[in-house]
Amino acid sequence: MSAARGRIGHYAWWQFRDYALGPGAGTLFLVGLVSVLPILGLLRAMQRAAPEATPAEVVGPAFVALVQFLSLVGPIVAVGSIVSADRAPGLARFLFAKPISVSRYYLQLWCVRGAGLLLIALLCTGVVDVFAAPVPWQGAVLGVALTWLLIGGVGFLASVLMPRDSIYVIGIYAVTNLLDQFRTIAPQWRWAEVVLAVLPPMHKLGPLRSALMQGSGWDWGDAWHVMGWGGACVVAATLLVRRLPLVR
Amino acid sequence: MTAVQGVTFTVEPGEVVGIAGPNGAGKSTLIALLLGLITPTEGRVRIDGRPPRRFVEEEGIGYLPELIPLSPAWRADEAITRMAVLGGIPAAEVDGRVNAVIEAVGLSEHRRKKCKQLSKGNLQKVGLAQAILRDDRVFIFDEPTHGLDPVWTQRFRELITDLRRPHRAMLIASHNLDELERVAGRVVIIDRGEIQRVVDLRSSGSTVSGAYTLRVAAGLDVVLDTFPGARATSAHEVLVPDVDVAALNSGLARAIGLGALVSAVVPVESALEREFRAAVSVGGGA
Repeated sequence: MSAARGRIGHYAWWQFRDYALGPGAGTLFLVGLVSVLPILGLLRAMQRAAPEATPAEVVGPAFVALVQFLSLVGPIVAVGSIVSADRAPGLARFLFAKPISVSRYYLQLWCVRGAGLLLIALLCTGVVDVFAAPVPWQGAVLGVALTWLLIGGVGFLASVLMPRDSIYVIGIYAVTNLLDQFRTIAPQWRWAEVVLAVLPPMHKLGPLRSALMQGSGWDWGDAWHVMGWGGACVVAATLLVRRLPLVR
Repeated sequence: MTAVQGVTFTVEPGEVVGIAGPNGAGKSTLIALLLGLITPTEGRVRIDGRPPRRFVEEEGIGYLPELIPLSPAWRADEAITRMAVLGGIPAAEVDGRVNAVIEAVGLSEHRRKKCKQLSKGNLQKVGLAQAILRDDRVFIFDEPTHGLDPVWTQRFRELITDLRRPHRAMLIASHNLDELERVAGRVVIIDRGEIQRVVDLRSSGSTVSGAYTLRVAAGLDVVLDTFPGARATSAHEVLVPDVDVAALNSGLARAIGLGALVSAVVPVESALEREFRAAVSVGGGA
């Protein structure tokens, strides 16, 4: 008689490998191509055109753009279809006939992918810091971590609840940031404020990341709002994933 | 939409139970319920007194799905190793156990191939290999011989025989009634989400009546005279319509006594096929 429980902790290595060879490699390629390489190229060009400019002055704005790009693309790619992809073709049937906790499997997968994303952030910011100019890479990595908690958390919950979850996450990101812009242009339209209050506070991520990279004080209220939303989504996803159908 | 309703049956330890039904009958839904992958809107499913998901999370089930949706990028042995890790096989035993099941299903020469490079039959073997990794108390096979060649279909039957244990329950869903008849003790026939009948194959063989084909090496006329209503379908074959087992045997004894040589007695349709046809036509299914 066999009653051995699955070695799910050991499976983290396979989960990491799947991320590294799939979404992780894609993210690294994209960020490297769109951000890191242009920054290094920009630095060389500026050093020839304006030798009086310091590397930090040249690289600074481009580095902020790199972190913004990585913070948006990285989490969406990492969390996209994290649960729903297993349901549709039926991989879940294989996985969850084994003696493992469904909740723990996906929570571990979420953590592994988050760790993978932070490694990519560390690598990209580290390359800029070493080969271009000193940059606030610690703040940048923390910013990516905060972004993962919210976008990754919302994406995790969306993937538990529906197929094509990435569209939903991108939609929320777009709507919250547009409404945030809109309320500064038209403050008399209070409904934008109301809608923003009920949606995940993705519009607050940019200012929080900037504060982290500048080393200036950040708004703790906003930080708790973001972390609370992200944490609540992760908890809800972890609890619901076991209770909702695992196959379609 | 209700996929399965009013389904009540029990599988005891030591039993091999088949599930048969036409396409869309509800077999896969029933299996998803047994694995706790979905929950019933009404009623309850219990395995060893526990809800299925709890049982699976605590003990695991040896399960072969109908489709093998493994990542195309995984190698065959890698896929089985992953399932061994998730199955809780100790690290020191994983390689040995993986090699053993690969050997058992005849996958050795394809073990390094990626799943996308495997034929349907070999992919089925990967699924079968991961299902038998552990010494589980419950096995569920969904269309287990789908895509297998006749040699491995036969091998699968031997595998089921090897897996039989007094404490072990096995459930096999299949379209292949002949296969179920050979390996199962009981077969649950479902159609349109409901149980149409349960056929006990251990007791049905002695009482059934039906048509038989007799292959006759000599004495065709004697055989035709012995069985009223029989007709020759070729120079060496006689079709005997609707005869019970006792009448068939006494007729054969008489014919053989009169000099006929009968080389084979083949039921035109098996007891299970007959029950299946009746059950599905009663239910109005395909």
